[in-house]
Amino acid sequence: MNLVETILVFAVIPLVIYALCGVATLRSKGAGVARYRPGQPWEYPAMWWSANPDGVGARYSHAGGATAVGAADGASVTGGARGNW
Amino acid sequence: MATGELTPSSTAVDEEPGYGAAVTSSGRISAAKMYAPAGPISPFTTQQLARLDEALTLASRETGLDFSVYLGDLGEDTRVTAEGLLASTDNPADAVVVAVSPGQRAIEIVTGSQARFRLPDRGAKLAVASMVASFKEGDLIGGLVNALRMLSDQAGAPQH
Repeated sequence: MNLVETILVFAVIPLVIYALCGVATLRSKGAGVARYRPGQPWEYPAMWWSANPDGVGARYSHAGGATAVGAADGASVTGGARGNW
Repeated sequence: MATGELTPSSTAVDEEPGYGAAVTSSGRISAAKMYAPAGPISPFTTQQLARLDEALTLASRETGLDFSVYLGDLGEDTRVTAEGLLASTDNPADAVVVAVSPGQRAIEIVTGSQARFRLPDRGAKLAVASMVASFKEGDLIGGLVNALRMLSDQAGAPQH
């Protein structure tokens, strides 16, 4: 094994392997959408999703039509819960 | 002057039309504009949105309640805004709105006047606690999907 072969095997090949691993770590940078992290500002337009009507199909309705959210005396009759993080 | 003959305005030809603009032979000004790419509409991938859509549809189909998920600013009084969202649905009595404001770090679950009997506030609180745990990790879609599953389990199938 002469000098050129020694350098090729013991220096160039390990360097190529390191470079390939380095390139692989950079691959997904910048690609795709930014991930939300808690605490960062939310600068996207408001979104409101509802169920796909085709997937839901015809359903039984308790109220049988539109019902007012507020009671007769003006008090809210909605239930639910709240929280923050 | 013959019919159809173009009449270039003498003033436009003389002066410089501006950066990136040129006067064409017909006298029309052709201007180049810098391309401004539109900003991202949402931080979610298509797969994440598909998961949320599936969870919403399954929850609504199993329970007969109109589940919807709102993601955006909820204003000063988060509860009032969320109740306004519920009131603007087609059938507010049977609707359940899960409103999340990541900017304010606030969650509101609003159940309609009939849905609240199917889905007690205790169950909604449980879903809120689950969402809080996921949102603290930055997993918005995972938290929403889990909360929808919990809410639909709590409400159960409709009793005719």
